Order: sequence, then C-alpha cells, then structure tokens
Amino acid sequence: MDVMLHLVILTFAVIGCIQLNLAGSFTGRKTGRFLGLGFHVVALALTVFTYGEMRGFFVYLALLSLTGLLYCTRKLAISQHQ
Amino acid sequence: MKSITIKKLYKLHTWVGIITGILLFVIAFSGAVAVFARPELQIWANSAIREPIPINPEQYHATLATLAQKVGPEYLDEVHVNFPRARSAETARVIFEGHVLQPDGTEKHEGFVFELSPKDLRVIEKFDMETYFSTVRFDMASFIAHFHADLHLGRPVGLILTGLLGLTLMVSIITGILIHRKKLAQIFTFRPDKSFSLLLSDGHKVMGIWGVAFHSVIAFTGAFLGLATVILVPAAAYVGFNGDQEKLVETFTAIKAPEISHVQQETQISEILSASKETRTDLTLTNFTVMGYGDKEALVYVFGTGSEQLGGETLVYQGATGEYLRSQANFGRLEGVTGKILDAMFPLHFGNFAGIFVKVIWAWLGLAMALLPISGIMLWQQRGIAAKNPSHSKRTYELVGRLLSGTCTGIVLATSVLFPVQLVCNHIMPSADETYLIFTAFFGVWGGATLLGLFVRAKHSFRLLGMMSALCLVSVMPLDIAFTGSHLFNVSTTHHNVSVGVDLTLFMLGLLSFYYLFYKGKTAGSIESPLIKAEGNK
Amino acid sequence: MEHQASGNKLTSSRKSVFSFLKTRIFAAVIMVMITSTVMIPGMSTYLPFNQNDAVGLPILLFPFIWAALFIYCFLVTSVKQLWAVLVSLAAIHIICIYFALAG
Repeated sequence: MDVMLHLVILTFAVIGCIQLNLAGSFTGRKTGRFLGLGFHVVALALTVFTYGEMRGFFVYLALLSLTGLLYCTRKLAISQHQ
Repeated sequence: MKSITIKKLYKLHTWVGIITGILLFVIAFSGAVAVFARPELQIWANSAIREPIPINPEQYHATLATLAQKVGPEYLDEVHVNFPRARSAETARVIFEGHVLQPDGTEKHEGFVFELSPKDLRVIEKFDMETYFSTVRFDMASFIAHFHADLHLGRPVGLILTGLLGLTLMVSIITGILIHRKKLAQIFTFRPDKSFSLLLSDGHKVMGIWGVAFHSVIAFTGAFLGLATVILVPAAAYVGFNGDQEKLVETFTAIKAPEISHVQQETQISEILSASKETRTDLTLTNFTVMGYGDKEALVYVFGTGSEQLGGETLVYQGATGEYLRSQANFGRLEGVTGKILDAMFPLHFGNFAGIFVKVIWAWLGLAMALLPISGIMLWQQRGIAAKNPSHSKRTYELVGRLLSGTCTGIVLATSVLFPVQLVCNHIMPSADETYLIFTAFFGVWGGATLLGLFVRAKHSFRLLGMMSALCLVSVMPLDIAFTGSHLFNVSTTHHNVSVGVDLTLFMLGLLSFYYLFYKGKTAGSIESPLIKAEGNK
Repeated sequence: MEHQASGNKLTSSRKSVFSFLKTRIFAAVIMVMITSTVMIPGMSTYLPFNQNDAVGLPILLFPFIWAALFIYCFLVTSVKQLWAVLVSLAAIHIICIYFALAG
C-alpha cells in the first residue's frame, strides 16, 4: 500500500512535468499549464496526506526537483553520445 | 538588468565555481553517500547489529540499576542511553554523568561510558567519559559521515571550510539565478546529441533550475551547521550571554534538570519504555535520558524519529511514577520562531526525516549537486579551448581537466574501496579497531588516483578509475556472502534486510557503472569533446 | 594582448570587468566576514523580538548577509563606496555592542 502510494505520487509528478513541457520550454498552452499544475497539486496533496504538512511539503519540493531533473535528462539513457 | 551587471555576475559565478568546484564535488558526493551512513551503512558495517534488535524495557531497567550501583550516586545527575542500530550508535551505550563542583565554583561534567552488547546488554567495555569522547574510532559509515562534515581536518578548520563552501554555494546559486535569463524557456531543454558543449551547458542549466530549491536548502543548512559552533554561537553569545557560549547552548538545547529532592525512589525505566513503545508506534526510538536517576523528582526524556515533526519528538515522563507529562520538539519548545527553524536544520540537510524514500531522493539530488560544479568547470574548459583568444593556455585547460578527472573520479573510487575494505576488516580482525586501515585505504586511493589523473589523459584516467570503482561495488555482494553467509535467499531467516539491501544496491550500481563505461563509451558517436581532441592531437 | 599595470588596476586592450580586483577580493574575503560576524551580536541588541529570537535570528540570517555583502563587493561600481558601506556597517554594530555591554 505504501509502495503503491509512492508510485502514484511519482506518476502524478512525472505526468505533471510532461504536461508542462512543450519542445523543451515551459509550455505556453493554457491546457498544458492547467493540467500540469493540476497533477502537481494532486501529488502535493498526496505527499502531505502521507507525511504530514511540514514534512510533506519538503518531500514534495524534493520530488518535484528530482522528477523534473530525471524527465529532462531521460535522453541520456538512450543517447549514443558520451 | 544592465548588461555590465550580468557580465559581472557571470564572472563572479564562473570564478567562484572554478575555485570551489572540486571541493564542492567532494563534499556533495560524500554527502550523497553520508545520507545512508546512519543507520543503513552503520548496520551493514557492523555484523552484531545486522538483524533487528527489539528494545527490551525490562532488560534496560535491570541493566541501568546494576550499573548505577557500580558508578555510585555522584554520577547519576544525567544518564544517557543510546539504543543499538539507532542513528548514532552501532551498539548500546550508557553514559553516567555527574556535575562535579570545582574549587572555583564552576561545574565540571565527569562520568563513565559503558559500551554494551546490543542483544543482551552485557558490558563490553567501560571508559572514562573524557577518554571516550577524545578517542577517535571509525567504521566506514562514521568515517564517511565525518569526512562530509569536516573533511577529517579537525575542528574548527574542517568545519570552517565546509561552512564557507556552503556560503560560496549560496553565492553561486544567487548569481546563477540572476544570469540565467531564460529559465522558463529552457527549463526542459536538454540536447545531449548535438555537441558535448551543449550537453554540458544544458545539463548545467537543467540541474541548476530544477534543483534550485534543494541546493538552496543544502547551502543554507550546510553553512549554518558548519559555522554555528565555530563562529556564529560565540558571536551571538558575546552580547546576549556575556560571552558565555555554554549558557547560550544550554538555553537552546538543554534538557531541563529537575529540582533534585534527594529522596530516593526507583526510576520506572521499564514502564516508561513500554509505554513509549506501545502508545507511539509511529516513532522509532533512538535514545533516552534520565535527569536525576533514582531521585523522586527524576525526569525521563525519550527521543524518537518518524513523527510528523521534522526534527523528531521527545516524550517526557515523571521518572518515579512513570506518568506521561508531555511531548515536545527539540528546539520547537522554545518561545519564538527560531526554535522551529533550528528543528528543521539537521533533518533538511540530511534528509533523514521521512524514511528511505526521501533518503533516496536526497541522495540523487546530492549527486546532481555534485555534478553541477563539474559541468560548470568543464563548460569553462570547452569554451576556453574553443575560443579564438583564450584567457589561458591550452596546457592550463588540459591540466585542469586532468586534475578534475583524477580528483573527482578518485573520490568515487576511494569511497567504493571502503566497502570491500570494511568487509575484509570485519572478517580478518573482527574486534580490532579498523580506523587506521579505513583512513589509509581512503586517502591512499584518493591520493593515488589524483596523481594518476595528472599523468594520464583525462579520458583514460576517468575510464580506468571508473572501472575500478565499478569493480569494487560489484565485489561487495560476493564478498559479503563469502564472509558472512548473508544473502537475498536467506533474508527471511536471517532478517538482514538492511545489509542485504545495501549489498544489492551496490551491486546494481556497479553493474550500471560497467554498462555506461564499457558499453556506452564504446558506442559513443562522432561528437567528441574539443579537450579530448586537443589531448589526442599532442 | 597588451597589459599595463597601473597601481591596483589592470588595464589591457581587452577591458577588465572588475576595477581594483585585488581590493575587491580582499574586501570580499576578509572584510565581509568581519562585518557579517560583528553584525550577529550587534543585531541582537536592537531586534524587537524575545531573547531567543533576538539571539537566534541573526545567527540564521548570517549566511544571507554574508552572501549579499560578498556579491555587493563585486557589483558596486565604486570601491570607495564599497569600503564605506562595509566599514559603516561594522562600526555601527560595534557601537551597538559597546553600549549593550556598557549597560
């Protein structure tokens, strides 16, 4: 249950990042921004629910950083360049 | 913002990064590993505590009573007990402390420290308090944690250095935010296939933007933790406490001593620990303190982590009756906002406030922070070499590249070496002090790798040292199985969940490193770093 | 590239971004640390908070004060202004400390 919840939080955070991305920039589309923000708000809510307010907030911030970073650099895993 | 201001900020960002970059990598990388130092790596490094050790309240009650009789009534003012496998203790430890009045009217804290067997609380060794705390003894876990804190340069020099690095990191973050004017436009821009320079530039920006909140928190808390005891507290105590630093520290941290009644009454350790375990199943109990052991007015403070409070929670009990009085945060009990911020300092820096999931996030982000200055220095190199009128000679850029490769890959190798060395020490000399070997292995390997990097081309030294690191990591699991017989398939009987988890993680990291160094390196495209091309053309 | 040294100021056919670089570095490394450290006890004498916050908040603000003064050392155009600011800040807080200790 715990692991599933964490996976769900992670998934929402990643989808949120995907929605906010448009060709390498922060999306200008209102739908994208709205959806991205929505997914991140849900991820934040779930994190706060799991860890409490103070802890949940900092956990979410860290998760946002990590998912954004991993999402941006996903090409490294398939890139031929070193 | 004026272009000259941007230019100045860019220069400042560049030079602060170049000067502090390698040291910052060392601190950040060791920090990423140190996140797991307590208790995961500590459990892994000490066979005696690999399996879970439940807290037996009656056992602690009886042991304290026996030891209290041995030390005598003058050392019962404070009794501190650390549970094994807790954050800072690899074994069970009891400290009996007395406040001895000196001829000049001051109080001196004296006492005894007992190291106990973690399972049956049998006395292993007894120390004088002063001797115990002045003796240095490290396993690989505590070595890494202390290396991150002060680079083993001692205090205050080491602490000042790491504290200053926190301050310069703050400068780098602030200048970086100000000079990067296309933050939102390039927030997802990452083009690893175009050119090496673009890979570095995009990587640096992406790690900087996404990690800004984390890096800022680490920089601030790191600066504070490094400089607090050496500069900040002495300065703050100068006026408010007339220079009395101890009084300032006591005001903020002291567990309040009760009014000793000198009426003897047994302290209900067993009842208190049982109540704490049963009523607060959310807490992982780490240690407890008895103020005025054996007195009618004794107070017992039981510390635990895992609650909703960032800095953990303290349960306070009346010692003689076992009555629960209240729960409090560490600094948060103080009036005002400072206490709440101080409570957050350690947990936010070490990421140890919400279980293994958060620790993994902290470690990943710590690695990203380590790569930030490196990517910046390499970018400076690339641009310098490619420039029509470079500020420095090609030789200078090559030397920086070799120093970078040797030092940074060297620290990775030195850290990786500690794991098999610890296992070998445990196997060959199980009860001996392995501190000297740990130090020699770490600094010897790091020094050797740095020297190698200076004499060998950067590309070759990186690959060689990387392969050696991967080999060390991959060797840990087989060595552990050979020496202890503990592995994945018998974990249900041994309950060595933590140590087997560490073995598996190291094994996977080693395999991943091999894959990237061996396979990916061979299939690299035609895009090559100008620096590597320059070295190759010599 | 030609270089002409003139006192503390390095002039070249490629113009330096920072004037009086050595002075700025000295101010940033030494004077900023002194000023920031002196500000900690100094601030505790006039901050309108309870004792815990009056002592604790300057400690917590130290990293921000240091970083701001460090960056200021290199952004400010006039080196004279830089020294005036740093020395004034230090002097004011030393005076506050003196009066607090003298009662």
